[in-house]
Amino acid sequence: MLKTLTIENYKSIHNATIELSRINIFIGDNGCGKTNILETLAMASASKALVLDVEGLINRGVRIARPNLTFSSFTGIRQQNKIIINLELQGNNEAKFDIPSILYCDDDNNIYAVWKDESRLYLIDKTEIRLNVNNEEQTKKEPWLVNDVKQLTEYLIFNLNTEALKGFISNSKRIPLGINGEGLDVLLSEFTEQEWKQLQKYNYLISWLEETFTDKKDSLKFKGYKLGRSNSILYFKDKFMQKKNNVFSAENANDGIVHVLFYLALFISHKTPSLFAIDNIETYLNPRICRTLLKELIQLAKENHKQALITTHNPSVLDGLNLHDDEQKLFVVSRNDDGKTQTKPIRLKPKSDEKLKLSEMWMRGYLGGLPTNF
Amino acid sequence: MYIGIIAEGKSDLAVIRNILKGKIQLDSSNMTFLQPELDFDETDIHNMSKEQFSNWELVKQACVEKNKLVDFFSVEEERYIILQIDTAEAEEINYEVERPEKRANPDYSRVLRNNVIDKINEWLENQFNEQIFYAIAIEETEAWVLTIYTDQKRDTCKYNDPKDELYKVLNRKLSKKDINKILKCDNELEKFDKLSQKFRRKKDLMRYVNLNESLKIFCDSLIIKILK
Repeated sequence: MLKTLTIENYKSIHNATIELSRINIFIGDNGCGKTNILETLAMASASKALVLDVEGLINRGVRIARPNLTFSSFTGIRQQNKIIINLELQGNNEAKFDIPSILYCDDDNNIYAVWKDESRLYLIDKTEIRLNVNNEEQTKKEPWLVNDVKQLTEYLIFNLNTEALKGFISNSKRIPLGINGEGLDVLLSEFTEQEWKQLQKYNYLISWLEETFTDKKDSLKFKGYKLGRSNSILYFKDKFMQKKNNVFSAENANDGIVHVLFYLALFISHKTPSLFAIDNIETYLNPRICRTLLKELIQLAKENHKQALITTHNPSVLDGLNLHDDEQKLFVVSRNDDGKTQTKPIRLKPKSDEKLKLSEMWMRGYLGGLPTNF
Repeated sequence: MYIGIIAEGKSDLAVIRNILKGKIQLDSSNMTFLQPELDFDETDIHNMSKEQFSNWELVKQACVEKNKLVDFFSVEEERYIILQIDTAEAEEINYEVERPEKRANPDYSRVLRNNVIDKINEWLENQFNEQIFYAIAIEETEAWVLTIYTDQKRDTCKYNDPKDELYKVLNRKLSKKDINKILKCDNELEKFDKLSQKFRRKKDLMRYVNLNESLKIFCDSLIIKILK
């Protein structure tokens, strides 16, 4: 599992070290650098997967700019032209291993430039990684380490878009799930019986939902269930409608259901990445669903060995967190007076008389992570 | 270190923020404004007057109720709260702080400050002493800001109406452009942030504190507690 993320010289992050846990929630003002943190992992991921070109980065959810706009730029500080990212991985037996990335470009002014990594450590196949130490090629075959590096190469930032979730557009080619939510119906159609069972446990999150299913032959579109402008073969049954006439397509469904379903599928499936990020998890979701969904996703992450970095602007998401559990962490991201992004983990005292929910503590200013200029 | 500020109004918040930067080089990201309006929604606020968000009663209420302090201190971190209050209304009912003789009394600011602190501790039932800084502005925070602009050598608390004096001096000293840009700004936080930005420089602040004893004592108290 990824334990520590150290970042130098990436966009608004001059220098930061973040001790991660299994579920990591990031809150902060708009533009404070939350997504930049997620992007640094995508840069390291692309590097270790040997796809440090524009496409490899876009496919992981990185917002592309010229290299000299990607390096940190602060008034009064000379700009450096290398991004340094170090990931400390930790195995079950407490064994640790550092995965460095020292990223640079030959042409800092070229938005299409291919990035390069000085560190020379990458995944060869599912059984070994190769690294260069003091000009000597070495291979590592410890299963936990190879597995963790493989997981890193599969990392991406999900930033959902309803049109993609419903199959109207398909911009991301990542499989099984695209960064905007593409491929949800196909992933569900590949679900095992066990996975369906697990998924159905969460039907209670959507009050009207009787059943979710996929129309593998895509024949329902010829029976008037949708116009067919979307490619999604995902359908729902409404528990309040007449049984003989209670089916409707994802194309016609509300936006919340497809978002909830996406997150559940992501955390349940063994085909989805084990390490990933979600930007703005709250989009389209009712506050109570935000809270309960997060609580359930944390449980699923523990059961299915997922690790996630999640940003949110919705306080109710925080109410699904238990900060007394070491596997859940909350970070406040802010920019200091020089504009540099910094992160701070929030821990509550073990015994405290506070009676407020975390959401209220955030909204009242006790945690930080709010604008202070008005 | 993380500092929460409970103050009478936004202008006071802005001034204290700049003082913290100048005196202990605390970055703004390590301060939070415990603003009363964050406790209410716009529907509640609709039925409240502007004064309900900007007076000493808010500070008293926070002290007496204590929830704000308990909740703020529930985070595992070195945390402090700054309680800011003016002395201009010290005689008002429910505030009721004894004001010493002002004329020819070199101890006036110190004694009045101590009286207000005693009153605050009474409201707090003597809890949280180690985690609180008292920003007692004698007589108003404007007197602290006045130290930046005045040409006089006497303590700025000696003016009968420091707020009025501050605006007189500003209208005289600021350029037309700055009067339009700063003084006519509706955002009190932004206005007083600009008016007091010289406090951000330690060297300047050290000079200004000599023109207001209550400002000096507050600044000194920051150092004493933090070093302790």
